[in-house]
Amino acid sequence: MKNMKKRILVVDDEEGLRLLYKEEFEDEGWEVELAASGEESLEKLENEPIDLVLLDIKMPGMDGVEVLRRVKEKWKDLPVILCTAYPHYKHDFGTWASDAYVIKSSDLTELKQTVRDILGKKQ
Amino acid sequence: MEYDIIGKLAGLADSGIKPGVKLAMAAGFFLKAFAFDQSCLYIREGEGGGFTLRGSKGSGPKIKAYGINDGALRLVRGKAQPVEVYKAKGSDAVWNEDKGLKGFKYAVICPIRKGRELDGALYLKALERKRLDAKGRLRLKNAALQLTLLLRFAVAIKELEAAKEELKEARSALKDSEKLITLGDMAAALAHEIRNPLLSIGGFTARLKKHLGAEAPVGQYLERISLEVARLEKIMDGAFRFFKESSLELKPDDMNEIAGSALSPFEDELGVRGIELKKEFYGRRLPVLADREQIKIAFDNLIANAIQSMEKGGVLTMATALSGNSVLAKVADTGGGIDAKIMDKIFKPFFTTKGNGTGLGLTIAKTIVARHRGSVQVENRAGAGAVFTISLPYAGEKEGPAPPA
Ligand SMILES: Nc1ncnc2c1ncn2[C@@H]1O[C@H](COP(=O)(O)OP(=O)(O)O)[C@@H](O)[C@H]1O
Ligand SMILES: [Mg+2]
Repeated sequence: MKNMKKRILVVDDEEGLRLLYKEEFEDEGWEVELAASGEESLEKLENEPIDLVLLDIKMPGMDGVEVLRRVKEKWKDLPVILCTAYPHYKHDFGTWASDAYVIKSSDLTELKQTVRDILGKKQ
Repeated sequence: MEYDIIGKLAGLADSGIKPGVKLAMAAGFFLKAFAFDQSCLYIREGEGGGFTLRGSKGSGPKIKAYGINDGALRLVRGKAQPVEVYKAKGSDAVWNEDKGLKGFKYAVICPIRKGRELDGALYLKALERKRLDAKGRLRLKNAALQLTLLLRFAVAIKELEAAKEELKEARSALKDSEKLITLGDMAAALAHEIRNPLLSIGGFTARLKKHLGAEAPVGQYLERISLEVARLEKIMDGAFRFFKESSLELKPDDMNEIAGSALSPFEDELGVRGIELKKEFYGRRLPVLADREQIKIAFDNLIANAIQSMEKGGVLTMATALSGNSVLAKVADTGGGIDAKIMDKIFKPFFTTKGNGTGLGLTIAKTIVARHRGSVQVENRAGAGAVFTISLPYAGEKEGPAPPA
């Protein structure tokens, strides 16, 4: 029981990005679970302990906004970071239900810092 | 058989002949119909202007233009009927004053009226003294009336032509703005598709750099890939800021406020760069219908360009004004202006002369303003600076704002 690593669930329909996030966050010292769709992410959340969800907004099938709604209904305190390539979604949703909002960029510094802020806080 | 001048003039009015030629032909008809030696047709140029010779026939002196009070022309000013003048023995002041009558002995001046205004005059001059009988006078009066109609008809056609042209331009401008919007939607979709692979490339490049260490021989290649990816992302961000799918949210706003709020984030930077700021804002509200966030983006781009053009300092002038039915906002710099050779390219997407430019600033500004049914104009003072003017439709009371108290 020496280290209970915090676990991040990465939800993105792009395989390349899932792989990238996995490696980067493991380097940061987190454990990473992957889901390729909204539906799969909800299934994982039912069955595994997750400390933070990194959620892409635009996905085929159930999109990120819908996933966010369902997650917040069921696991009120589970932190969710919304990720998107569209800067203007920020205006549309604000951060009403998500704990942070990050615009996708190949420079992952901001995203990694946001994750550290949220998971560090909950330690 | 009598020469049918009325019929001739009517036929001329209805013909497709060029207006300039029509007038010369009409002058010829009069000469023939009334057996004079010279005829000159004068038309008033604009409101309150003088009278210019627009068609003539026959020989002898012809005056190119008359002032409103000059020569024999002033005799018909208040008249509806033709006026006859004779060369009286040595005493007639009008005759001597009007150099166009020199060498002639008799003349008839026919007024061409538009309502109460004198719109032109037809001079008929004869070398011999003669008289028109009552029938001839009536005929001349009717012919002059027919000539008036011909002129009005020509003016109406010209105005119709101009209106048609204007309509055509307005239509094509509308089409352009619609085209840009659909292109924008496509670009937004495309940008989204490009964005994720780009993130992947950039992200893995960063991981490669981390694994190989900064000293690796391929380090500089990786660095280049990262830089280029960052540049592409910057372009995407720029495009996204206005290629968003949602439509404009037009709200009543004040151009002075929009311009002020666009300027304020730059004010510190201006000081640091040794650029003096001059604000010349219109003294009253400038009502416009605008999506403020979008118009601010347009200003952002114009102000950024102005600042970038003044590397060694200068003066940035921000001015607002009301001009007719347009609300204007100018961003002027003293950064040397734009090379005449590239003037027609600067609004094109991706055109840039800057090492790290995206070439989208002006495209974005223009598109946003076009979506507001406005325009962006550039005025270049080569060697001095550039002036960019955003023009939006005035959205206040119809009769315009009250004059300043
Ligand atoms: N205020 C200005 N003074 C001089 N040149 C200008 C100015 N504004 C724009 N330009 C010219 O127009 C080009 C296109 O401008 P823009 O579309 O904003 O793209 P960018 O600034 O990224 O180059 C610039 O590269 C520059 O050559
Ligand atoms: Mg620019």
